[in-house]
Amino acid sequence: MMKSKNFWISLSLLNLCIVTVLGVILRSKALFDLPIIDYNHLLNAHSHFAFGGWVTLALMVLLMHTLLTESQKQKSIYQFVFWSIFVTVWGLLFTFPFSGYNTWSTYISTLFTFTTYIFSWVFIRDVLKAKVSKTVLILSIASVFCMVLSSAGSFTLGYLFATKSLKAILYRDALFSYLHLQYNGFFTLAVFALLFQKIESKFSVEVQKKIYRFALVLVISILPSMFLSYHWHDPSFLFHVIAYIGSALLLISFGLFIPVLKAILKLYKSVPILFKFIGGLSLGAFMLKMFLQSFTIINFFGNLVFGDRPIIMGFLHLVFLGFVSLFLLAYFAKTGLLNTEKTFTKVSLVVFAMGALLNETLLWAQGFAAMLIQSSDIFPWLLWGAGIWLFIGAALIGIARIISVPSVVAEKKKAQVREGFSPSIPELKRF
Amino acid sequence: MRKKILTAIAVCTLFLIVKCGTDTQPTTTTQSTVAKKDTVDNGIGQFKDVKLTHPLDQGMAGKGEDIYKAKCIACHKLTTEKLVGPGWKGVTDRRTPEWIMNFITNTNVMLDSDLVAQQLMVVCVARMPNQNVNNDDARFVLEFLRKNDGKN
Ligand code: HEC
Repeated sequence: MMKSKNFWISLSLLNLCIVTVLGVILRSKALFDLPIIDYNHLLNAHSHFAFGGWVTLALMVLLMHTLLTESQKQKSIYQFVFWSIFVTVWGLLFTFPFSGYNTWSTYISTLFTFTTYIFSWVFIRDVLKAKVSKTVLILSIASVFCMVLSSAGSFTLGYLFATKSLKAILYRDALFSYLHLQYNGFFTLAVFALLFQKIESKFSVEVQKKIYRFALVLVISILPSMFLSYHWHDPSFLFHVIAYIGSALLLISFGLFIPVLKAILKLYKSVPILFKFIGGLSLGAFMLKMFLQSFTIINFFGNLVFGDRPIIMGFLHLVFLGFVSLFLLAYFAKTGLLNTEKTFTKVSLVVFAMGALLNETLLWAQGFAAMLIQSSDIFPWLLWGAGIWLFIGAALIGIARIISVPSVVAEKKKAQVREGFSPSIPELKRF
Repeated sequence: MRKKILTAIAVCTLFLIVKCGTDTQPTTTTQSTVAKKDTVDNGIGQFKDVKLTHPLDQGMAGKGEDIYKAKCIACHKLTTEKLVGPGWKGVTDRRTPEWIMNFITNTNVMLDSDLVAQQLMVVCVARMPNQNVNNDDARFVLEFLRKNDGKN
């Protein structure tokens, strides 16, 4: 069944809503008696659904629709991939909360993983033939490649859970490698591929070169900086050296990003304040992430951070909510996937962004309070509130999407035209 | 289409509620079997003989509560209910004071080698990270745990 970009984006927003609902239940569990819910199983569902149902789906749809040529987009294999992603994450939603890693959920998440393999294979072949810039090409290929590589980590974790052998070192290494390749690899690189695909051509050749240099170093930094997550258990000398290189590369790409950021800010000088706010938060979160990540090289910080759950949660949400989710929402807004002419949409976006900010602030505050051993039993309540706030934001965005998107109507008409006449009418450039 | 999605969601939610109700039993039973086995196990670490006072030391318990609220609240509830880690109610009945102190100060070693701790890990499907708690603080937490269990 051929479905439009709009259809898939709607589903990904629905999934975002579900993610926030699961988040609220998790935070309620800390405060109220909810014996029927197993926290860790639901946590698995929450994170898998957030990764798969919201970000992976949205990123794949956008990568495919914005980077590939019109005829490549028509391939039914992409529709198959999106359906498969959607169905498997919903499958996980109904298996993980009850039984954690069991036969069914393992089976379904394997299907999910194989779907990502199929996507990578088809997408990489297509994007090599599509007419994208060098920058976008390396970013998008490296991004998809990281997604494939990350499955090694998730298979290891699945194996450890299935055999009930949760050895300290292997468990954390597998977990952190997986998270690293997903967050800093797949998500981050895909975000920049999308961003630069959209704006690169508006810059001078000189700026384009700077962008390319930043993208290159960012891509190169991914594998060495993965060793930062192994640093804590004092592995061999070689591992340390690679970790140091990773840390240095992160700082270099951070440095190279600054002129790029300046150019972006100049380009977007006259956009409405809403984009400035959300886009600014997103890019700010990215820079903070790079900075913090490179600092874990210092053992003192690494040790302090890796055992401090609120800080780890804060970092994960910084990247996931702050950087990636806000980027996606800003991108939707800028490209008409969310209609920002309507006040309702604007309000919903602001509510969600404020929720992300609040959530982040609270987690860091709780994390620092833990380091300083300051008693803080108010935090679970505040975090619960922040969870509900985010849910309201996500729900409002979903409603805004349903009630006020003229592009859905336009898309329908276009689809009719497409089916009726020729399949290769170039997509209307909405931005 | 939208209608279809809504129906699907409704059906799924129903399924979720029904399934929730039926699946709660096994977890509770596993937890109590784990709980029964280990009354003599003192764990692995430097604590061989922890001196308790009767009645318990309210001052220490208060400090222990502060540590709990700062460092442990994200994963442990004070009831019997499991969060990331087991609920703390009754922990001083199912473990010896030595085991608790060793576990808090020597978490990684215990999780890798102590049978009870490993069983806990299977039940929780998570691993407690080392919390950098020193011996004194661990003692305060122990006192707080006793207070939470109504000991004197
Ligand atoms: C990241 C979550 C997390 C944090 C933070 C945490 N724990 Fe744990 N705790 C666990 C888990 C999970 C277990 C079960 C063993 C396992 O799976 O590792 C556990 C088990 C325990 C047990 C054994 C409980 C029993 O029923 O036998 C004690 C005692 C304990 N933790 C004390 C502490 C103390 C004290 C702190 C704070 C200084 C703390 N924990 C912080 C996750 C955590």
